[in-house]
Amino acid sequence: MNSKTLPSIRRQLLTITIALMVIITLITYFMANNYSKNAAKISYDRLLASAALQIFENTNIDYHEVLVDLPSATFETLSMASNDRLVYQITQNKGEHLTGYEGLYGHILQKAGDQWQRAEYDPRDNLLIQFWEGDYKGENFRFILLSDKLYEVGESFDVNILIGQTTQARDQLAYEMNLNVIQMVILTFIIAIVLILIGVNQILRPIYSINKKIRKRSPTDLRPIDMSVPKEMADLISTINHFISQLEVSLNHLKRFTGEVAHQIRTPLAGLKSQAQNAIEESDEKTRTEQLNRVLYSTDLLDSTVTQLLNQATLAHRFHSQPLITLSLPELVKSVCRDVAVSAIQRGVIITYQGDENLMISGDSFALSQMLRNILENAIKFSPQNKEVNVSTELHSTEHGYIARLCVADQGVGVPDAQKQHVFERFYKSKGDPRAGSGLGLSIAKEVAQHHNAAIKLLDNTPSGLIFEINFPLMLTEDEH
Amino acid sequence: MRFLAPVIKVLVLIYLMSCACVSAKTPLVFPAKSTQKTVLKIYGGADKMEIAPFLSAYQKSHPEVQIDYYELSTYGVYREFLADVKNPPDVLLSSAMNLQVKLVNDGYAQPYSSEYTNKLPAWGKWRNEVFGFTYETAVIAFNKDFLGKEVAPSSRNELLELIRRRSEQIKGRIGIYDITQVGIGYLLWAHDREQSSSYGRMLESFGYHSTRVFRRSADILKALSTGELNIGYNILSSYARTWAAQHPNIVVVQPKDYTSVIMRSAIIPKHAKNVLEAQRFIDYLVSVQGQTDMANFTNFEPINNEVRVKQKHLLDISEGQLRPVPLGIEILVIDDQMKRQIIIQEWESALIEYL
Repeated sequence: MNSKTLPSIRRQLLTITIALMVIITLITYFMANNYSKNAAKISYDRLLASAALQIFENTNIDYHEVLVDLPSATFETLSMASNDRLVYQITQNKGEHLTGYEGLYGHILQKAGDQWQRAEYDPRDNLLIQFWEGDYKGENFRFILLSDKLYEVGESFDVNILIGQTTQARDQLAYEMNLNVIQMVILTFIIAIVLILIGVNQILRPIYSINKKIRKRSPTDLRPIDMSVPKEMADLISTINHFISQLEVSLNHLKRFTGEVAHQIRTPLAGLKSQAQNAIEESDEKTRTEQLNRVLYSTDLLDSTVTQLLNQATLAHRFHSQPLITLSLPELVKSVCRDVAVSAIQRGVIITYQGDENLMISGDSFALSQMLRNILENAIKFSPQNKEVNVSTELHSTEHGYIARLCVADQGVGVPDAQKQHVFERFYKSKGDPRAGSGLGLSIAKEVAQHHNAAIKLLDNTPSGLIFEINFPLMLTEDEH
Repeated sequence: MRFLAPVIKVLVLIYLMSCACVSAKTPLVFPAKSTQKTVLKIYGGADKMEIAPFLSAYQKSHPEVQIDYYELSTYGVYREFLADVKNPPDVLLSSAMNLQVKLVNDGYAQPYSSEYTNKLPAWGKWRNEVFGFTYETAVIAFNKDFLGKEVAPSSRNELLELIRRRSEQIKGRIGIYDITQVGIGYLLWAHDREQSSSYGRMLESFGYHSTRVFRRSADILKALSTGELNIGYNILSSYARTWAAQHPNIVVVQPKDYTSVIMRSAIIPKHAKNVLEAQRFIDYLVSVQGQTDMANFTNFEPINNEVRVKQKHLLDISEGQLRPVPLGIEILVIDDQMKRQIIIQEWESALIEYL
């Protein structure tokens, strides 16, 4: 087994859900953080704005001069932020000092530059309220600047009210709101994790029980698994059941095959034995020689059967272990034809080959040679003297595209249509056929063709004989690129 | 003209010397009682003689400390400190709450908190940077001879009623602080203006009766004891009680409608050299031990409730309503230049024309 064990489903589920939870939690936290900061900002900004407005209400023109009578209530309101420092200056016109911290207005105006933000609400028309937050003498201050005009008969004054307060109280408020949110988020997080743990266990339980059920089975028990599982796993169960039934079919097949093999081997052995005994008892030299020749013939037959069985086993192994490679079909066909040509000529049969070059298919050359050799030997065997076996390869176009077609045509008696479907069965021999054969060659040929996704067909030759037609899926030749 | 040169030289020298004497303040030095010494430098607004026994008491528990006490006026504490911010004393003691708060608000103080300072009432400190350690109330003092058999008025309304009733005897015989010159006087007056509904009538009545203004508590109390004055308004309780103890013809009343309270407070400046010693001194100031010593050796009123109960001071806090001048940004209103201008103008236009 070279497959690695993947991380457990439980761990994956937990990792994904917990990661998701963490992300959601973080997002919630940042949003809440933002929200609480904003809420604290708005409430304390309102406080500042109301203070500035109160001061403005108490600013009057008195004998052509602006007079600010600071209301004590204003500072009492602002002292609700009990630990915050406060600076202020009230100026007129272009920043001339009226009262408060002298120089503050000019300093802050220069420092804030154009970073002033207009208040989001305007309590009155024509009233300019702006905010700026920044460092002043080493501490963070929130400044409000209210600018308006005061009118008196024949004269008007610009009044600027600048108040700055440190941000301890608003930071504290934001921090407290945040703390509440964090507590909520942590609680939610813990509850969610517990629910997820329970849920994942619930989901995975059927998998464990399937596993348990299969593990407890005896190896010979090939009944389908019968248990109620979630929809997603029903497919898995039905696949497993299908696999089990396949396994059963294969096992039965193997049993039958083993029986047949035993039978097929035993019959010639029995024949051999009786012929050998006959030969021992035979006193007539000529007859005995005949009998011994028959023993030899039977031995050959048995030998070829065993060889084919071995071939089949080798091929079965190759199919599992060898990957298909790109090869030239004509090259392979020519090489096999050359191998069998001599034995064919000894039997008075001529093999011809005709074909397109450069038909590339993907395949296993050993298996394909085996297949072609079996088909050729079969054709040679059934060919009358002085007849030809014609082998051809060609590029053929079908409605699904191009295929590589391999044909082997003989001029023997052919096979009646009724028997064509049995030709590829194991140990099948045409009735009344006296010629030696294992009955395995063509079944091997069919297995090889199937392994290559090639369709193998039996057609009648004219005027007589049989054509094996094998259609391979085509690999594109170099030229066609 | 040549003969004048030495004279001028001498004059310049004398001038320089006098300058040196004024600017290089000479501290009252309390030498350390043990050999290992560390110096604690204090700028204080309290009278040397008043505070000396208390500082000596401190040295009993901290014998290694040498105390350099610079006696200054309350405004002097503020001004001298600001004159050289980078080279400050370790502690500033002052009764000018507005100035102390301003120093904190402007970022000149450093925070400190300990189990001792945490026991202070909320109104007794701000930002853990300014700590009230003694308070004083503003009282009304009367000449007993003037009152005769009459019971002393116990509230501002009763006072106004008395003034109206005996108007003739009172003309020119009310004494108050000159708020243009006395910081505490201004603070208390401005506080009255915020607190009292009778402020307007009082201003009018005081003006009508040719109220006299003084720069020192002692002068008011002296005039009261001699019968030159019949009523002294908003006198600091510590002085009033000391005088009343020595002059039986002075009656001290704490108004029941409300009693203004001011605090002496302490600050550790941001760049103080001997911070550790300053913190120990603050702890002592507000601790039971320090407060008890204060009650025993000075006429300062301890701020700590436990001590007050033990010492049975003259002040009964259950009587009347204490309204402390706030130790916090509210006081900035009182300190505002324009506000001051308004209040003083109001005060002057009511009073000065009768002077």
